[in-house]
Order: sequence, then structure tokens, then C-alpha cells
Amino acid sequence: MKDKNMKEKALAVYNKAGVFIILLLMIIILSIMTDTFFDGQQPD
Amino acid sequence: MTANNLINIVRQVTFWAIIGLGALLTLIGGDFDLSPGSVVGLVSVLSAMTIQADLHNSLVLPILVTIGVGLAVGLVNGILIAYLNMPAFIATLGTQLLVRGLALYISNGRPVSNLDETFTFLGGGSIGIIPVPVIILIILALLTWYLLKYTRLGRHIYAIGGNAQAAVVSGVNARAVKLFTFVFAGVMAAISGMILTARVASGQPSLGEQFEMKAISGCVIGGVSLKGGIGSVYSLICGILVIGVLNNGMDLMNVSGYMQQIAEGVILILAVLLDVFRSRTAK
Repeated sequence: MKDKNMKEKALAVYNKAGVFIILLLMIIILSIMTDTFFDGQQPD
Repeated sequence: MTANNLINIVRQVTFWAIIGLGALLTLIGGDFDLSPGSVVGLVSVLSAMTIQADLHNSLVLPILVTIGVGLAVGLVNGILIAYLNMPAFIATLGTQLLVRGLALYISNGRPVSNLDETFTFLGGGSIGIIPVPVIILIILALLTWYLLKYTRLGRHIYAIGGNAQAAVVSGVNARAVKLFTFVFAGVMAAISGMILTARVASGQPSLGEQFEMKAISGCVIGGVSLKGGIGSVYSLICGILVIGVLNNGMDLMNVSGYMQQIAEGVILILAVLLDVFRSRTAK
């Protein structure tokens, strides 16, 4: 019962903001991996 | 450090996002539309020809032609699917081929160039730091959000997507609602086509190839259910931005175009798997 509630809660959070969180994570990871992400210059 | 690249990403995804607004309605209604990419091509050719023929350099005629093409293709799709009970996949695949062929036939396969600056401002201009296509997207997104959230028609679209039989029994005119979703998708594709033509400053019959796939992918990645009844403008915009950021980031990391397609495909499959898992848990 507790497991089911946790699963439902996780799914509810994902439904509300999951893709937005993924998007933010992608931007953070890309800006770390390519320090030119925000200004859009090709790296040397 | 500037945020130029973020504005670039938003500008790049605008054309997919506008088509996505139409795809969103058809998906929520439980169907999907494969013809928007071809509508972009036909609108591109016709709006470019109209702007060349119009001596007053007015935007009225190209806008009328654009909306007319979107309405016509949407009506054909809607009648075939809602009133003649054709499967959406086959009907819209047929119109996709038909409309692309028409664009190539009318233009003889050649681009139409030398467009007026008033027209190209729609795609390439900016107001302040915000590009004009992004302003158009914001207006259309707000209209779609309002339609889905606060109108009876919006609730009917969710209802027929969630459970068509229950909706019909409750008095919803499912055929008319479906027809509306396809007409809306056609008009959105046409608007995207006109703005993209203004952006590239020429009418090209091959413009918009695979755009419907980007739009549907954006919806699914954002969490719009392929089974219908679930989805919002917010999900679509987030999903399309994920694709845009992914493409842009991989460009910056010098990842090849082939590899980018593979990555996009993997993400799409994961998103569909998540949708299947979600609908199982909901049961």
C-alpha cells in the first residue's frame, strides 16, 4: 500500500513538472559540458 | 556570457511548436495528423507566389491564402476521418502525399524567391529582443491554452479523447469536435508555413519535411498521451524545447547529424514507454 502511494506520488510529480525538470537538467549539463552553451559560439 | 543561444533555440523550435499546437489538439482528441509538413510546403509556395503577384505589397492576400489552405486541408482530413470513418493514419498519409505533390506541381519543383521585406519581417524580424515568430507563437499558445482550459469545446476534445463512447452518450457531437481539431491543425500548420517562408525569404515546395514528426515527438516527450484525453500546451512547449535544446547542444558538441537522429529516436521511444507505464499505473 505504501509502495503504491509512493509510486503514485512520484508519477504525480512527474506529470506536473517532470519534463520541465528534464529540460532544466539538460540545460545545466550542456552548459557544464560546453562552456559556450549560453552564447552559442562553437567551441575551439 | 549572454543568453543569445537560448533565444536562438526558441526561434528554431517556434515553427515546430506552432504545428505542435495543432498536433496537440488532434492527439488529445485521440487521433493524429501526418499532413502538416506538406501543408507547410504548399503554403510556402502559394504565399510566396501571392506576395510576388500582389502589387500593393500588402500582407492581407498571403494571410488569406495561408488560412484558406490550412482550412481546406483540415476540412478534407476532418471529413475523411470524422464523417467517412477513415483511419487517421491512412487519411492524413494520403493528404500528406497529395498536398506535397500539389506544392511541387504548382512550383514546378523550383523555389519562389525575391520576397518583399514587409513579408520577410514576419519570420526574420524582432520586436525588442523577442523575434516576431516567438511573439506569434506566444499569442497562438495562449489562445490554444484558453480554448482547452476554459471553453466547452476544449472539454469536449478531452472527453472524446478520454472515452469517445461515453462522450457521445453524454451528448457531445464527436464528429464536429474531431472535424474542428483537424481544421485547427491545418490552420496552425499553414501559419507555421507562412512564417517559415518569411524566415527563409523564399517559397520552397520541400519546406517542412518531417515537421509533423517533430511536432508529434514534442507532444509525446512532453507527456501528451498517444491514447488521447491527456495533454496541455505546457507539456507541448516543454517537449519541443527538450528536442530543441538536445539538437542545439549536440551541434555545439560537434555530434554528427546521424547521431543526433539516433539520440532523438531513443528519447522518443523512452517517452512512449513512459506513457505506456503511466497509463498502466493509472488503471
